Amino acid sequence: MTEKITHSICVGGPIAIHTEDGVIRRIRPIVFDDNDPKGWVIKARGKEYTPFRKASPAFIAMTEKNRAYSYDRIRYPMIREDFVETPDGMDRKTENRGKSGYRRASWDEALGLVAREIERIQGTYGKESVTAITSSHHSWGLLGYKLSAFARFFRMLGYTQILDNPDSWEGFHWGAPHTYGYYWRLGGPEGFDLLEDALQNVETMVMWSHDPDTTRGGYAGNESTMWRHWLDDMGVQFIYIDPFNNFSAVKQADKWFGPRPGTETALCEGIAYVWLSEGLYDKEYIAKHAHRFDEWENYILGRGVDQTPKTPAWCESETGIPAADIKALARRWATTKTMGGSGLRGGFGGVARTANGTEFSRVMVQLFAMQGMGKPGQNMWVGTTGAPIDYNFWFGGYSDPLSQIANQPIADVTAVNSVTQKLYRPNLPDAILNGHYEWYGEGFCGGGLDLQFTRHIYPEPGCNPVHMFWRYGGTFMGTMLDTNKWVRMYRSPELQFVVNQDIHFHGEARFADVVLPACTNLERYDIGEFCNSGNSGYQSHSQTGCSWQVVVFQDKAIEPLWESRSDFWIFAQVAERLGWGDKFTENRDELGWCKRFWEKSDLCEKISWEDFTKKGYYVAGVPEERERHYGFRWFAEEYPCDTPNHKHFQEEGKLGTFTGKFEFVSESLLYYAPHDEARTPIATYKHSWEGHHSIKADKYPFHLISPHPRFDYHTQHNSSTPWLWEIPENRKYINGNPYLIARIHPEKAEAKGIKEGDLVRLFNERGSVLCVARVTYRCEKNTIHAYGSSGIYNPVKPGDTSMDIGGCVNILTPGRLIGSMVPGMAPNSTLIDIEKYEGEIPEGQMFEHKLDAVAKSADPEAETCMDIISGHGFESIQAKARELYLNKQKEATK
Amino acid sequence: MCNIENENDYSPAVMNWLDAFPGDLTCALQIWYEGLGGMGTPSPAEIAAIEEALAKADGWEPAGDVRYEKMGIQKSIKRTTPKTIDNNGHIMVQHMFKLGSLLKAPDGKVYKVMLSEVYNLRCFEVKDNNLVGGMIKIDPTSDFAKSLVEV
Repeated sequence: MTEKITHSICVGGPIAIHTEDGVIRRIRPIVFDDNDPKGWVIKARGKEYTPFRKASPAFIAMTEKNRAYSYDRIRYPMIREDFVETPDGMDRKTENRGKSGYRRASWDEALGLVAREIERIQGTYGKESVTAITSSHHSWGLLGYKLSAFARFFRMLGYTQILDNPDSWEGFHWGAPHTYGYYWRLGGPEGFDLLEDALQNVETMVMWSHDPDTTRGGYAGNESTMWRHWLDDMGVQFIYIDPFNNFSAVKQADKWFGPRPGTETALCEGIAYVWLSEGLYDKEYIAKHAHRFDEWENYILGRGVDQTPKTPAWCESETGIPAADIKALARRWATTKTMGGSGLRGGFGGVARTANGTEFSRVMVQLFAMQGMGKPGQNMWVGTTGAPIDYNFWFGGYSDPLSQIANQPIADVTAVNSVTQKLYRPNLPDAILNGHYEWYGEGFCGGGLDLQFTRHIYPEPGCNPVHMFWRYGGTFMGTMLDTNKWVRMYRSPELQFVVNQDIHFHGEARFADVVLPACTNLERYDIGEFCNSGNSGYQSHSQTGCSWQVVVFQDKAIEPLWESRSDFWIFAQVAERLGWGDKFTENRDELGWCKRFWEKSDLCEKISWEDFTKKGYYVAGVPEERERHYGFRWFAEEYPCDTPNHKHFQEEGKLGTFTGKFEFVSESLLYYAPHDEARTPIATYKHSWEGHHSIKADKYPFHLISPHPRFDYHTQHNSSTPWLWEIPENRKYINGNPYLIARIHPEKAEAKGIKEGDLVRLFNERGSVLCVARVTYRCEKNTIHAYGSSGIYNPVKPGDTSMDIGGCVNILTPGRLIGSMVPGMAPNSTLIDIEKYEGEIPEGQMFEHKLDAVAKSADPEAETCMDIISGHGFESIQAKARELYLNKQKEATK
Repeated sequence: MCNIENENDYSPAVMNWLDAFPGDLTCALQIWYEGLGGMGTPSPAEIAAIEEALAKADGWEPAGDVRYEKMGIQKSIKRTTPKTIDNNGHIMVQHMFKLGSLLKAPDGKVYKVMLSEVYNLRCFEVKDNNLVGGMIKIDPTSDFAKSLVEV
């Protein structure tokens, strides 16, 4: 038995992988050795704080072995069994997508078909008739992740780009920049060095719509968990505000507030009322740094157009939180040094994904401004970012243009898309089904406030609609809204040809004509840094959510399983068949590309390529005499901005708003969108278009909230890792099917005749989903809580818009955007009803049986997933390890 | 709004703001909001009055239509000699080394600024319009940095 240890990173963090005889045996965190640098030290309140000497990935990272050997791996290229390659793209039985079976194909056949279809469709309708999109997450690594190999291929090909929406933090992206700028951080605050600030100064933490142990700072695993324990231990009070008493709150909250979903902005206004009427805010700061504050003050105090004072009593009537509690919250916040914010990095959260998300985000910023944002202990910071960092070490993240193989300097030649036509992800089905769609904005508008207001028309004048769709990684059935419209889109003959390239046979892959099996990043080479999503793009320097800065050589632990191949290989093969393979690869193999990231960054100065690839990772130390650049301090104390990723006007002492100040009346909205009904110049609480004031609430009285999942990462892990289904808070098996847990308040459950563990049907006019009831006081009374982004989509009638038993609650969420000029999604503005399910229990739909059946019918000699694992001795290895362990225990107890 | 004695003559207020402005590029709309305390969208007459004042500003020249990330495309003016330190003597790294700009060294090599932040200036050499070689770190306060000329 020869053991090999390699390293990799996934969305849950960095891991070490032990393989024996070509089989992954176990996954563990990376433990640093004596040659790795010392950890940083923060001195605060008479103590010294330093992190553990290991990386702390999330538990989902520990499931990577299961994910690689998963029952639902796509093993071979497959072609839909009733697909006919008609010469004109017609009569392809597209109505059968989602229910037809597949036949096994050779790589040559599948790739040849894909290349021919690209040539036919682009030759007939123009370059723009092909479109493609990645999921939000696939497999970590600068070569294989979403903005690199994929972007290089499609830009070289020429295609209609589908703009991504900021689906995790819509309100902050579309709202907050109109109050404090930071559009280049996509609406999120800057958290630099605020861990030290908090440890030294903070007294109260307001964790709004925030479950840090679940969302883990994005990609930071459990790195920041200990920081929050430190704060807890020193007596900092934690206040959690969330309709669901979430998993972080139950262990940490000194006080939990559960507002009725969609009323959070009203709660903000109630807090502001207390501050204004009791003089509990930083008047000097506001006088200096705020614009048109008095007009907003008038609105809050009832002297505005609506003549309604936003008193705690008024606030109670909307939110359900007692007026006395609202006053106490407001006074505590104002009279102690308070940090906080919303969601995983302070500018996220399920509340930002509501119809009122932009207004909540703007008022949230305004509240922190009123308390002197940027002063020591007063900031937007939620305990998940802002660790000390060596500001002079540069290694790119996936959104950095400098770190993508589509661009120089990583590539010799930058790939440029020749097509200007665009589509917009949340409304892709509408565009395909209706043949016409219009929207505002560039999706991620990090390039400017003005880019939120560009107007797009599909098809672009002079362009043709798209007829080919290439989906890459993950499934939108669980992450985009109103799932059934995606089903209808796939069945449309407008899409003459659909390719799906994925690792697992997710719900969406089942709608493709050709399925291309990609391998996991444990089966290929790549390179990447822990939690680095980019130093100039996205919400930059997210790696400060980690205690350690770790760059990993993602070595190949095993060869690609079955006939799966790396994403890079797949794109290179299609490019080869299209006649530009050499241009795509620039004659580099995957290892050659990885080396480019090393040599075009600071990494090459710190460690040789040989040592790096041998050791498998590099830890960038933080100098003992480190630089400190506290987030937002420059603005509060009026010196030129010294934080990274800043703008030139910050050096002039200004924010990224029109006036350079906190705008309580937004001049940018008055300028660009004075009649925008969702984002009014003064941010105000507005009744949701799908909320408890809607007529619809008579029929569907419950709010469904579907936050980011605790037992998954979007759709990556849950579908592929059955042992996660054994966690009672996640799923429950009934008749062989792992039903998702839906939580309901005991009073409401009783009224509905629902008991713990009952099968329940969640439904509205968009569809229905079967779940298992968990009856708990942790839910606000009017709320049903079920985690979103289900990796499993299992309609009872495949290919139809029928009831789902996989837990894909996005079947119920509205496809409607936040506003006509605010192209954000609002899954947490969903009304539903719930009933005990007493119908026939659907047959269990375990993918492995279906997949094995497909494989067996194509090739009777084909091995099943378990055959392959057993065939490599995996089970006997486990048994031997267990025996050794038990013997040791016996010895120890003698 | 600031006090404007003659409501049709914005020149004194505009000149005062330009004198204090640490940047190199501006437009009438920016001055409306930042310099004149304007609220709401200015009328065409108000913009024209500011532009008339800007046309007379010493040390500034027309820069044509320039896109601002905040306000979109605006008719602009720029300083004839760029400022690199603010009025308190603080170095302004991004004003000296604009992101994406090309800088020429005394030896004739041309560099493209790829990162300009917190005294952390990073470039790549440009040859035949291509970025070549490794990432180059430059200390913005060094003699070498001072010798670089924007192309």
